[in-house]
Amino acid sequence: MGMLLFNGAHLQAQEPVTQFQMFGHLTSTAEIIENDWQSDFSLGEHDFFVVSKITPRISFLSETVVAPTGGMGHSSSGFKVSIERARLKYQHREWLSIIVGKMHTPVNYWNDVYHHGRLFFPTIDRPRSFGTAIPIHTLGLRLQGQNIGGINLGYDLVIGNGMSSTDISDGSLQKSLTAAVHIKPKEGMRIGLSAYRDLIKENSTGSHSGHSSTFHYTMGDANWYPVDLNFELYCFSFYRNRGKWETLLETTWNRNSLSDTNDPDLVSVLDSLGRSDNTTFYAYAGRKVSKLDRIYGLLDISNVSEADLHLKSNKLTKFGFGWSHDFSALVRSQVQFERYTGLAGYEVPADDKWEIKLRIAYCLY
Amino acid sequence: MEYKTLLAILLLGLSMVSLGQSGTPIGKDLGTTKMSDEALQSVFRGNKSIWNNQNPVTVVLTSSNSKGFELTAQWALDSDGFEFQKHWLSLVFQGRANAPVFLKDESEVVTYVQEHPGAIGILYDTAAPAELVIEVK
Repeated sequence: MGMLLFNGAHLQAQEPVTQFQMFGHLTSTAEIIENDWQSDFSLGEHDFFVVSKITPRISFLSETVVAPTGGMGHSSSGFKVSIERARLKYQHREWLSIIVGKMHTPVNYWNDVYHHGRLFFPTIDRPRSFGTAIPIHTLGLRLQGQNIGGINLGYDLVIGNGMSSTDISDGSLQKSLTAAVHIKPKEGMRIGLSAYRDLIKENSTGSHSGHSSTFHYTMGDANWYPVDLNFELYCFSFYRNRGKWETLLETTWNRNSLSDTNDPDLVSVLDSLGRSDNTTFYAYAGRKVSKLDRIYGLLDISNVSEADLHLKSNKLTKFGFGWSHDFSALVRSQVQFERYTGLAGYEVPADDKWEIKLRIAYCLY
Repeated sequence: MEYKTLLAILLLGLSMVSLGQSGTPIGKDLGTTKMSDEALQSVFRGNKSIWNNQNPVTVVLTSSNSKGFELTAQWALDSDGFEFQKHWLSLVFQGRANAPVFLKDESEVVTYVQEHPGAIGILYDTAAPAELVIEVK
């Protein structure tokens, strides 16, 4: 198979064209919780990214990630390997591509554009919604159109295995549905809306629920009920990068409710639980201070209802500021100061800590 | 230095900058031989994947450290080569565009475009074969 180096120096063969890249990152964190200092250096995810143009109309894309297990830094005990994306795309027209395989669910800007690409992250951490409300992957069929008309309209329609499925199978006729639209009225601007619906079988979290599942109820938790849940998610994203300023807003509204297929005897013990409205809000604004340097601020708010049966209730807020420096288009360093806080009395304890993080993200090819 | 000499040097410098920045777009079997500047910019930003004649778009660029890459970045993205490289890296990572073909120099760009229907490139220092020239409307 021919290989073409992305940076370009040589064309070794012509078709098909396959590129190999690796995205990775190193992180160091120091945090103070109730006057107790902790710190660590950690090896982050390493993402082996492959794209291949098999024929002029058929392409393949995959990401295989080697990631720390059980969390980053001092809570991690080793590494695991995961196929995060593996998809074939047939491009029929500008307004229609057919994609099959495992893909990032195109519900919001962050999940569609960044996901494992830490080199592109505007802030060190993902928004908190990434580990809670956002169904990060879907294994299934996707219809996609993009750059349609003068406003560069794009759409994505996805049917796939749901949030309680594994990477191998779903075991259910029920499928998740995603409908997303975005426009790019100007270069460097993208505005998107999406809706996602799923039925979570027996309230179980599978491979696609989130990358930080400590926010989900799982078997063994005191308040875990094995009931089927309707999961609805609506997202709005706004991104703009023009001139010196870069901004990103991500909001989600998530409603979880008992499915009417549940056993009435089981449901009756849940009393008023079972229907919840949850919201998240993430805002980032960065300003270039030189060609390679940017200073930025962030705000990340999570609000999960006490009535929720799928997500542990919480009212958490994080805010901070940072500085990013690009050594090249392929190496970015960031230092970030953060304050974590929240309200007590919810399933997820209120944060009360300060953090300083340093990260170096890179791409090799 | 005489005022007229200074003016002559200034005019000569300006004309050289202008010549250096005016590239000639070339393409093969794009379904058209005329395109607006805006449409061309959109293509080089990765916003078009299929030509009207149904040939897939292949953007052909010289290497990221070349003068042509920098000039194309300034024209297409209103930015620099650094941002242009990140722009394409991100688009490919998203899976929303096929990667551009990067070649060593403009003579390779001409050869590639000649051999690949749907391919489009820009020449700054190399004479463009007449049959490949895309007229800017």
